[in-house]
This record gives sequence, C-alpha cells and structure tokens, in this order.
Amino acid sequence: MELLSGLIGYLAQTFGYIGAAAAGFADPVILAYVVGGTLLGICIGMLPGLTATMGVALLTTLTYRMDRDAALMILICLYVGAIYGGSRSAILLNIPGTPANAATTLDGYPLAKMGRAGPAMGIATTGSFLGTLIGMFFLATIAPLLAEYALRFQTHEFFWLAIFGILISGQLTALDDPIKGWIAGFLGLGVAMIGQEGLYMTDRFTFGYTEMQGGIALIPAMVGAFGFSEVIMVMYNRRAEVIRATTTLRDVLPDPRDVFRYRRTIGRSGVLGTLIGVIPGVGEDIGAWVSYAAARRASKEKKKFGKGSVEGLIAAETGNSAAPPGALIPVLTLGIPGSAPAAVLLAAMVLHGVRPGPMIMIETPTFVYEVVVMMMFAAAAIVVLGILLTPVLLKVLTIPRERLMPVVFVLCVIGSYAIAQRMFDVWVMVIFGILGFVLRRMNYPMAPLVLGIVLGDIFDKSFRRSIVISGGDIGFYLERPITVVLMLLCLGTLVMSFASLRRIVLRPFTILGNMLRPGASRSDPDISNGEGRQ
Amino acid sequence: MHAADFWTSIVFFVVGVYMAVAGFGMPGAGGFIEEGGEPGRVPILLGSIIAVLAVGLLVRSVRHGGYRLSALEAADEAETAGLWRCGITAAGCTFYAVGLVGARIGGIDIPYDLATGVFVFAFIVLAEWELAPAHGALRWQRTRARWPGLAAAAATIGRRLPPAWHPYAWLVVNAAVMAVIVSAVVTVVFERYFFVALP
Repeated sequence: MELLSGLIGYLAQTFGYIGAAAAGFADPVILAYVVGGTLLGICIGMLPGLTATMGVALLTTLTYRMDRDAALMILICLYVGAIYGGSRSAILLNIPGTPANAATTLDGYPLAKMGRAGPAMGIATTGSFLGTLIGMFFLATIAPLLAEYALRFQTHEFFWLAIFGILISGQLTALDDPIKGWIAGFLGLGVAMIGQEGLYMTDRFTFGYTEMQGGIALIPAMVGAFGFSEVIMVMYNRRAEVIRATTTLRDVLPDPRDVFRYRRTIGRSGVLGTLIGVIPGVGEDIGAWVSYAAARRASKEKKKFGKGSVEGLIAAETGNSAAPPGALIPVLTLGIPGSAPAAVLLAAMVLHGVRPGPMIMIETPTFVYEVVVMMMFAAAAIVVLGILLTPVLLKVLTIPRERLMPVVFVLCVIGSYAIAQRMFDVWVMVIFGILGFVLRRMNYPMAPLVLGIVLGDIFDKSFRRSIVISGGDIGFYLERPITVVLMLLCLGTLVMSFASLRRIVLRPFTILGNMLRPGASRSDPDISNGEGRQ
Repeated sequence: MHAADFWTSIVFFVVGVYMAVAGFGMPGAGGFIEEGGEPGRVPILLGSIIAVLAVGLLVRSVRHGGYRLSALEAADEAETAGLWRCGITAAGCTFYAVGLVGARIGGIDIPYDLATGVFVFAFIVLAEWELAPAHGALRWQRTRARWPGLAAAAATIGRRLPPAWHPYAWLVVNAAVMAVIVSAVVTVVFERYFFVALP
C-alpha cells in the first residue's frame, strides 16, 4: 500500500513538472517551431536518402544561434517527424524513407497494393503517435530515477559502460556480422583519440596540424557520414515508382477500433521500442524489427504478416516511434546516445550549454521534463500534420532526387563550416562522407562508429583514471557490483555473438530445460548430440 | 563480399597496428604523468583490438576464398553505371567543397555564391542529362498548364533551336534558375541571418 501511494505520488509529481514545462512552452512562436520542425522532419523522412540523423545534423548547424529551447524543440520535432515521415515512402514506394521504416515496408506496401494506402497511412499515424507517447511516459518516469542512480557511477563503470555500448551496438546493428559492427565501433573510438587528450594535454595523431589538436568535431563528422555519404548513395539508384494513393482526409483518418483491437500489440511494441532505444547506439530500426518479430510471434494471424497485416504495420511503426524517447533516456542520464540521431542531439545539447549526464537533475532539474514536453508536442504535431496535410505531403515524394541532392550537399558544406567557421571542418565532413559511403557499401553499420566517436572521450579518461585509481589491480573492479554487472553484460554480449560459444554456454540450460519438460528423457536426441533447441 | 572483406581487413589491420605502435611512441609515465595514465595506453588498447578483429575478418574471408583475385565479383551493367555515378558525384562534390569554396584562382577569390551556383547548375545538368528526353516532355506539359505565359515565352525562344535540343535546353534553363535561387538563398541566410563570414 505504501509502495502504491509512493508510486502515485511520484507520478503525480512527474505530471506536475510536465504540466509546468508545457505551460512554459505555451508561446505562439514555439508552437510555430513545433509545426515547422515536424513538417520538415516528415518531409525529410519521406524522401528516401534523407535520414533523421542527416536532418538533425544539418539542422543543428542551422539552429545553433537560436536560444536553447527553440533550437532543441525544432530538432526533437524534426527527429520524431522524420521517423514518422519515413512510413509514407515505405507504404507508397516500398522504400523505407529512413532505415527505421524498413519493417514498415513488409506490410505497408502490400496494403497499398491492395488499394488500402490511405488506411495504411492512418494506421502508421496511430502507431507512431502511440509509440511516441509510450516512450515519452518512460522517459518522464525513468530518466529522473536513472539519473539519480547514475550518480553512483564512477570511472570504472563509465569505462565498462562504454565498452558494453560498443559491443551491443556493434552486435545489434550488424546481426549477421558482429565483427564488422565492432570494427566500426572501435574505429569510432580510435577517431576520438585524434587531438589533444584531456588529462595531460598531449597531442595524439595530430600529425603536426594545429587544427587537429581540437579533435574531430562530431557535427561535421555526422554531417559527412550521414549527409554526404547519402548524397553519393542516392545517385547509385534510379528513382522508384510511387503508388498513386487515395488522398482524401477520410481515408487517412486513424480508426479508433484499430487501437482497441491491437492494444496488446501497441503496448508490447511501445515497451520493446523504448527498451531498444535505451540500449546504446542501437536505435529505431532495431526497435521496429524487434517489435515486428514479437508481434508476429504473439499474433493469432501469423500468416497475414508480410502480406498486408494491419497488426504488423502497427507493431513496426509503434516500435520505431517509441525508440526516440527511449534513446534520449541514456542521453540525458548518462551522456550516452541510444541512437545515431540521439548522438547528434547530444552534441546539440552540449552546443546549447546543457551538460547531459548524471548531474542533469542537479544542474538543470527541469530539463528532462522540457524534453518530454517537446516529444509530446512533436507527437501531437505528427497526428495533426500527418492527417491534414497528407495530399500536400505526398507531392514531396515526386521531388526529383537529382535536384534535391545538390541542395543537400551545399547545406552539408556550409553547415559544417558555419559552427566554427573553419575549412578544416569541411575537410572532416568530406572525409567522413567518403569513408561512410565505402563502409556502408561494405556492410559496416554507421551507428557504432558514431557511438564510438561520442564515447571516445569518456572511454579514454575513464580507462586511464580507473587504472591510476586501482593501480592496475583487476580485483579492484570485482569489488564494485555495478562494474561486475557491466563486465558480465560485455561477456554475455560477446558469447551470444558466436554460435559455437552460445551453444556451449546455453547447453546446461537446454539440458535442464529438457529434463524438466514432461516426458523428456536423457536419450533425447537433441540433447545427446549436443545440439540445443536454440 | 569476401574479396572486399579480405582487402578491408588488411587495411584495418594496418590501421590497428599503426595505432598501437604510435601509442607506444607517446610520452610514458614520469614527471606529471602518473603510472597508468599514460596518453598512449588507450591507443595501444584500441589498436590491438582493431588488429585482432581485422585478423578475425581476414581469416574468415580467406576461408571463403576471398584472397583470390577471381573472387572479386564482376559487377553487372547497372551496378557499374551506379558506381560510376557515385564516383562522379563524390569527385564533383569534393571538388566543390574543398577546391572551389574559398578558392583563389589566378589571383581572384572565387565568391561563395558563384561557386555554389556553378556547383548546383553542374550537378543538376550532369545528373539529369541522361533523363532529359524522358522527363522533358512531362515537365513541359506541367509548365504549360501552370505558367502559360512562361511556356509561351519559352516556346518562342525554342523555335530557333532544333527539336532534339529542346529537352536539354529546358534542363539547362531549369538548372540555371535552381542554381541562382539556391546560391542566393543560402548566401543571404548564412551571411545576413547567421552572421557567418562565408569562405
């Protein structure tokens, strides 16, 4: 009873803070930014080749002179809008507008081919809205608690957290080939070593260039890796054909019955999407796939999946939209991004004077709730704009990429240059663009690379400080429970990545499971030949 | 992909070894640098990890015959054309970004807006040249429907050109208009509103 009343009290307090933050944003100018940012995000998301990360990175360079709340409002609305907007091209073109919408194509496009493009867009809107709301709820309730808990984190924990982030991100973003994911992640950490290190101000890998002493700035690197490389990638493919969709308002209006019918799928996908978002450097695309797979496993209509299942579509869209608020939880509480766009948002927050990390609830106690309100505004805007402006927005899909890409590249160049006004950052953008293109062609994921660049400084300082403190004694690490848990998580991630190791580790559990299974005997062929049921 | 993995693993191995070796060359403990806090410690660790992972990738690619030159799969026509487009795009964009913006040619500083205009114009013309005959008719119909006055003026000028040139002439005009708009808007926004000293 005491626990329940405590919980109710905590929720009431949280919603009180959210209300106060919302009141602070009740300004016509801010609302105009919400509309503008979300609309731009939807357009960026709709256009295959323009991703949420690219949009947030480019707009960070365009908003750095605005005040903090206005700039972050635009960026968060753009982030949420882009993830939602990508569903339009996934449904109408069978091409995901952003990688987060890849799972949407599986059922969205078949629905469009059946002549149900309008209702499919309505379902995607419902899923995206509810997914964002579920993620937002967890952001509002978990982030303050996690920030308080994170105050116990010391250098050893941050070092192991960084290692875990790279390992899990490398594994989940390159499921078929985790080695490539890990190479990308450790390469990112390596890139972060360029410049003067933070403890003794010694130059590392600067090759005598003074400009390199400041290190590689994240924003130009991200603009290159996600902007310039996309410009090159887009020119590889010719345009796809758009399915002519019904565009009446009635067609795209979400059906409330869908919400009730698929309430469990929505709830499950929202929670899974948020959880995947929380995992460092993984992001929305994995959130959508995991939610889709879970929905399929639990569905009574499994056969419909991949052939135009409303449940599949709603699961994918709820999952990917729940991930952005989830990805902001580690950004705000630990200073570790949950996804690539969240990494840029982290850089944007630092640019605007916020210091995300365990101290956030002490230094800027209302900031978490302000971010929640920004998400809430974005969620409301995607519903209103997604429904009302559908006929207009569909015209965006007809913009020739050959005309859009030079404009994008001009913004990549001037955006990279504008923040520090030095040509060195343009070079960084170009090099990362070409490197990003080559790595993507070779199936190396970009998210671990970005995460590595972001975590490089924490990794470097924490590792060396922890060795100084511990005097190189491994036993020192084992005395700290959080460190042990993180070490076990790293080990578990490594073990689960290799089929042979996985079989060895899981074998005792498989045998135990089979023994406990009614009617099972020790002569069960699956056990005796060492092949588990995994 | 195994052949590509073979070559990239060698590159990553070299990068890893270089990082580790460079780490050993960095200042060691002593003076104000504490034991354990040496600046080269993390590059050594990272370089070693990258090298080990690269060896893993190398072994796997060798097992699949990635070391054989014949393993380099022959690209089909569409892929070759796509890669050419990518190469030209990368080269053109790089030239604009680091060769044209802020450049000084023959003692004259190239203005940012001129460089941007030239880039946008060249990009559109080159990227759409192949598609011009197919897209030209469609765009011409759209222009006639939306801006009849403009279409009439264009038709008057167009009569002097051979019909086969019309789609290309229309493309060039479109690209020029787009180039002027983009370079003017970007220049004004960044110079006047963001107070950026353009390169």
